[in-house]
Amino acid sequence: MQIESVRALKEEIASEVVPPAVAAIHDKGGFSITTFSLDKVTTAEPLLALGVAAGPQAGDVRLAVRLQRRSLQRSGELLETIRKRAHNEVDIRYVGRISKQAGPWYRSRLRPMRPGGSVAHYKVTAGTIGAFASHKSTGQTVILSNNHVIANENAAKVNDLILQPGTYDAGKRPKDEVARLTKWVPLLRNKTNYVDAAIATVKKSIEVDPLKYTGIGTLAGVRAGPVSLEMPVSKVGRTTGVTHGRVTAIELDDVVIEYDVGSISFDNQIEIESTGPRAFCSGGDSGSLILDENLCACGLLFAGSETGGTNGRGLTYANPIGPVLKKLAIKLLVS
Amino acid sequence: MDEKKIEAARRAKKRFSETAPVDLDIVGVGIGLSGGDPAVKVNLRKPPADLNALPKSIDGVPIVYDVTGKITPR
Repeated sequence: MQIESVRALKEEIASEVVPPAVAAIHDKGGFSITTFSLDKVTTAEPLLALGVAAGPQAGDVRLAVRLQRRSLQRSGELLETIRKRAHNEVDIRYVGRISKQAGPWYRSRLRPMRPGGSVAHYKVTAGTIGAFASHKSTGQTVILSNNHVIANENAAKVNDLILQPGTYDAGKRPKDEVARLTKWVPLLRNKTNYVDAAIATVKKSIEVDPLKYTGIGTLAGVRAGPVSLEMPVSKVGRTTGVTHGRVTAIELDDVVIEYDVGSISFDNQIEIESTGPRAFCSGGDSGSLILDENLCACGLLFAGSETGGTNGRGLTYANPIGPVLKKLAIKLLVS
Repeated sequence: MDEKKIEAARRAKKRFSETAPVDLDIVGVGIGLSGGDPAVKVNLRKPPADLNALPKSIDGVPIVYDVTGKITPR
């Protein structure tokens, strides 16, 4: 069958065949339902899906019918009508209810909270919990992430709400409020910047599991020396989970990042490229802690490119961890 | 890594930044690698008009150009 014919057939069946068949089932007592909250009821009723499937020969296509109700599967008349109209060039299958796939752990609500999970200022989509630290002056536990994740690129105010997961991952107020914004290093235009970092004080009622970097290991400490070229690194972040890479450049100056507030330049940055099949990072991984081969913290991920690098998968940029800890006056919680 | 070669790359990086062609759309200059040795790494927002016209080395330190495109917060 030609693709145009399948498309026309889809329209025809959706408008002429399905409605009377469904009406007939309703007349006989309707579909069974699963009991759940009325809040979750939507007007969309799962019935059947129509599409285009591969035909028996190369380049050939046929009508795809995916049934979501056993009642429809048992409706011989409906299926016979569809087969007849499609001149038997049809692929009919029962697929049942199709539900949204559960997201990975790092985009979900985490209690206790742990590094790598989704987090954000309540007006920001989502970024990553890089680490948990102790504020040197108050001794309180804080979340470490980027300014652009938890301080909304300087636009936030002290004590603003921080959500885990972030709003983009269905984080809601007040149930997902986990921290209050405490301090950030301002992002400055027309000046040299060194870090994109901020901290938020964790609410006393929220438990944290500060050392567990799921899929990597237990945070061992803070790297003593500077990052070196070719050094293997890893991270766990809200979007791409655990990824591994290597340092491709150090002491990178004049790194121009295009923020919403404009272009901002950074000096003394670390550049990383993936050693795996995917990019080292993607949007939403901002704030991830970069770990060296000994599981010591060595950087704070904050930016990336879509192209570049020896594998063409783009490059990731991170602030060296030393200046981040110093400017925010914090100490990482380590084993 | 040979610290003397790293130091030479640092000096070359500084010299490159002082003498870089003005029409080059640079989004980062650092120390990278070329054939296992330290090099000046120059990241560009867009491909240069003529790559062959750009300096290949500075004071004996190779220069590596990489077109990264724009860099954005993640």
